[in-house]
Amino acid sequence: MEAKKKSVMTGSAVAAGALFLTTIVSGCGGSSGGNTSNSGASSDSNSGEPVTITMSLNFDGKEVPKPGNEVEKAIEKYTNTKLKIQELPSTTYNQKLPVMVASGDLPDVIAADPHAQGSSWLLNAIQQGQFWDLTPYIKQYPKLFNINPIILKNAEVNGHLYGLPRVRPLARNVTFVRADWLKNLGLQVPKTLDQYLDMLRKFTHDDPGKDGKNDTFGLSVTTAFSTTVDSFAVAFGAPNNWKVVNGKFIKDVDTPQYLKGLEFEKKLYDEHLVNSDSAVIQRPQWEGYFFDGKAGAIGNTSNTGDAYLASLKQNNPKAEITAFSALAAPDGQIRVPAGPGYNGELMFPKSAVKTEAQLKQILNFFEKLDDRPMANLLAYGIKGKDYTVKNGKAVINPNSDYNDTVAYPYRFPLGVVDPTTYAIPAANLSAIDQLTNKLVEENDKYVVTDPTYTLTSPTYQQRGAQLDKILTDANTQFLLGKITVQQWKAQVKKWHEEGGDQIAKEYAEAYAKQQK
Amino acid sequence: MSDVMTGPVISEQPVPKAKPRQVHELWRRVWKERWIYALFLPGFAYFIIFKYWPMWGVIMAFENYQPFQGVLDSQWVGLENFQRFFSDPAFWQLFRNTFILAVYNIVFFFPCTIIVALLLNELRLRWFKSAVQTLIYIPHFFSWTVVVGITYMLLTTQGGLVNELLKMVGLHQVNFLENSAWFRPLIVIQDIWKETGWGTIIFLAALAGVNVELYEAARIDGANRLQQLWHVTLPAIRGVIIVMFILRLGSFLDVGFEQIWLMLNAMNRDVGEVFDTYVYTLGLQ
Repeated sequence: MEAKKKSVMTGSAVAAGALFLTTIVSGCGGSSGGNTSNSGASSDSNSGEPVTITMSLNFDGKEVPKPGNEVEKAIEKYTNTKLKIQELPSTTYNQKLPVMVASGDLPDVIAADPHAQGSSWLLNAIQQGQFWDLTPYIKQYPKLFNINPIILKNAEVNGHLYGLPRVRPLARNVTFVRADWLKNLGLQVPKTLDQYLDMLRKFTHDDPGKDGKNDTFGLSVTTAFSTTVDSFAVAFGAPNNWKVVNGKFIKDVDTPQYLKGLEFEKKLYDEHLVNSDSAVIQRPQWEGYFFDGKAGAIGNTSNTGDAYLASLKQNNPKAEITAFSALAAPDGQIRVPAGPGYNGELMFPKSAVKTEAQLKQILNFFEKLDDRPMANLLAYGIKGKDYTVKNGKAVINPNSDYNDTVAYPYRFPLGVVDPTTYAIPAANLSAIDQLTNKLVEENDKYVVTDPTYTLTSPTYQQRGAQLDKILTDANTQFLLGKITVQQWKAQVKKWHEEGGDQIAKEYAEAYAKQQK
Repeated sequence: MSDVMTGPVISEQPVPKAKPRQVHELWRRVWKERWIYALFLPGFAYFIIFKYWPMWGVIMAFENYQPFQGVLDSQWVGLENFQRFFSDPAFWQLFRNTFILAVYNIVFFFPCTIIVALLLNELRLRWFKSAVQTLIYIPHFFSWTVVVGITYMLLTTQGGLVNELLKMVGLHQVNFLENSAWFRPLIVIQDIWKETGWGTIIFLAALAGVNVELYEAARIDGANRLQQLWHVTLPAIRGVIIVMFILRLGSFLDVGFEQIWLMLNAMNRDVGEVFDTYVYTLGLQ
């Protein structure tokens, strides 16, 4: 009860703070323009007046830190800037952004994804020249644009780069498993889909917790994020969303391999190796099954390992976890679906960043974040408090609140290239983090990319949500035994007729244009 | 007819004279009653600002609205959006789902409020009546998120109370939450559980107003409790029932977005998707 009350209070405090900040940001929009153009000439030196940069960014952590905190001050001092950062929870932010762009009342920096579904408003704004085209500056900022060319290309719109992609690993989905259960059952971490199925069966039937009760199951799933079907399908050789054959676009569901992946997952449902309420539950229950020791495995992005282990240990101090990612299909091949490789782009509206000199100052700021002192700060936190240096390596303080003070408020929203690229190496990375970093790196060899990341389809922009739902619903209904394969195929046909064919055509046209 | 000739000459004189006098009179009266008019102003402002002014936003329905371009500059498309809506393959399914839920609501939920009000009215233990009233008002103040959460905990196949009981007595488990057949009953049951108590308030007020002498007279004529109910109580509150029914019809197709959105999933979308939820997915998600 008390915890709830507290969170409500913080919620309203955050809301009030956000309101307050909005006024500051809008109030400073004009003055920052004047200020920066004055010091425009000395853009590359540290001397002179600090440059004011206003930003409005999405935030995924628990609580937005107060402006003027230790970390922000350190960044401001090193980069010779005055930062005015407004951070809003991602859902709120994404709702507000179209209105902000529509009103033209924008800060110097915003975070948005022109490739996300339902962002035709952003593409319109880009096409009308509302945002700076960064393509000419790529060569001038070598540290900042030290980005995997695939990811850079994925972030482009019609061959031009309109934002700094906040880089993430290409294939970062891993499956976390209970290492102590594996040990109890005398199993190894699975390497093939067959071994995986065998492991889930034993987790369900062979009392992996050794408590004499038949109360466990293999994998916790939810259709709230329907990534499992797609990754099984890709493992069996289906395309990642779309594939191009002779200039024509073929949707994954039209390939026989996709159905193989779907039937593999149906086996998990039929044999009760997964929870039966996957269509109903949301994130807390889905993760709860794993934390409570009911499910032996759960899939998520690679960076959740530490948090998952901590939550698991709270309920059961003896619990241990390990992880795997790519699994070999019966044909011996390994394939994993690749994401776009970035999480939103930092974009610079021309209504706020009026001159090229100003733009360069801002790019300069982001380039400076890649200098070693700043990279160390973003990667490990404040020196002496969050980490210490020993033999040129960072020794991380296990009790630091780095995640709340640095990672969520600054590293994730502001970082373009992963700061560990430029920071000193870590001496004591947790075992699970070391493992997942390795898995994600290995995945690069096996990735299957989605050819539509660089293309746009007006129909998909407009009706994608509705059309996607036809397919995801059909998958769920098939998995839970409500419809047969024939009925599933009828739904795929319905998808084609209601817009799928049109989308394929539009992608093909955009692709042909791009190849020229 | 004869006035046509003479009329203007006679009548023209008083009219210009009377007009300023009337206007003057009106303002004098307004001034005299100025405090009454001042009281009227907030209400007037409310309707202008919150009801009439936003109405121009309706224009959006006739435009290919782009938030970036705003209401004034978006392209005018006339009835195209309506055409698209009514010819949408999903339209009739949405219509049917919305309509059936609305009818269920009227048929099952509405009588419940009357029946519960009548039952409460028959209670003679004062403290018991107030206690029951308080208890059945409480769910009204719960948000739908809480109600749906409770429903989930009771009905899930993954250790939910109801399914565990079914298992104990040796019956098959029922997947209430992922089943089209159970969707509408669950929605109506939730509605009844949450809102019945609150819905009794007006009926209870009406019942309190029924003349006690009528009951006495009925009793003298030998009417038992049921006959009193049928011949005295119900006719006495008939007017209120009809008014409430009409008000209810006014929000007939408003089946409640939040509740349905939270109960909706891939397994029951064929009967659960209504206009509100469809528009939300299509337009905002």
